[in-house]
Amino acid sequence: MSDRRLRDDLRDYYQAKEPSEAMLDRLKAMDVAAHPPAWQQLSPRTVSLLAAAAVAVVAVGLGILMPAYQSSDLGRAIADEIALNHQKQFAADFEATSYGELRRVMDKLDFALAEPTRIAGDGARLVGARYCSIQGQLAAQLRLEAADGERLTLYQTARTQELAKLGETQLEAGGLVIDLWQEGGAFLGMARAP
Amino acid sequence: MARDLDQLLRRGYRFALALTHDEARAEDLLQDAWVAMLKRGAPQHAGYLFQTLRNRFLDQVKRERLVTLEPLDPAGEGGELAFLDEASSWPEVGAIHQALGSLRPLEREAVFLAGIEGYTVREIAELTGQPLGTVSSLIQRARRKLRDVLRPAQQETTS
Repeated sequence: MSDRRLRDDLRDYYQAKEPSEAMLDRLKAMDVAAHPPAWQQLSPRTVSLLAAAAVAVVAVGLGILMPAYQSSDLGRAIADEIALNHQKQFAADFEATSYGELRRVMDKLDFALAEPTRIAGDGARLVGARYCSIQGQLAAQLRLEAADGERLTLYQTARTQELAKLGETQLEAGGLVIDLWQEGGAFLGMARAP
Repeated sequence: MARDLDQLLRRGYRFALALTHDEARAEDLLQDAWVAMLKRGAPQHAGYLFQTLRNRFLDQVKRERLVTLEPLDPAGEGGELAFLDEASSWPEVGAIHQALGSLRPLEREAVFLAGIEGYTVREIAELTGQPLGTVSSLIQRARRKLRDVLRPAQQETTS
């Protein structure tokens, strides 16, 4: 019996091991950024026409069939996700002390990393970064160190229309203060101790 | 297509787990390898992903000096999958985890590729760039260690 059973037990052991869904989403998002779907290679005019038609259809459909999506729910979901990731304390994949350097090495991002003016006065020092995702969207997770040594985590992702509606807000999640705001084409979120 | 990618990433994660024997490190290793593959525009198939994971893992190990990677003597001891016949009567998941933890990374890698992915010794040798005798030796050594760790657990469950 032993042969089959050991083989099955080892297989069961490994088959039961799954990467986290957040990790899978992050890796798939990177793949999409690296290999844009065919529709993204259409001419801008064709895309505009198709997009306008799609928006019209979706807008009518949503207006009839679905309740309006609450921006506050999205903000809450993002704050929770940021707090969770902050607490995991992942190591940085890219060491960098300047945003210019990070823009160069993190070339899979589909938006320009912003050098946040909002925290410029805090004297926070950039330490490094890694790819991550926010709500399934490709993002960068930046590690910073405040002047007093506090570890800060700054997230940036592309400022989509949905995210643009969130404006500027501060929420509490997981015992942390989460600031959400926008600069340039980026949507930013920062986690810090209260 | 999306399903294929999902399955590829899950297989990659399990192989990373076989190398690291640590779930958090396996996720980090998978992300590291995936970013490297995307940067190179590499083909997305299991063999290439496994090779990338392995190379990144060995780089990390050398950098961090976390485990010993001294070469093994290439003397094989018979059939490459013989350990599957001998280590029998089987243990719970906790005992398997513990037994796998007693193996060195390259031994776990060989066991994983042979037992889970179904690779032959020759295929493992090609994938890992090791001589056939070394791969056989890795599997044999893994067999001895698994037997040593699992036998007491087996006796406990039967007594």
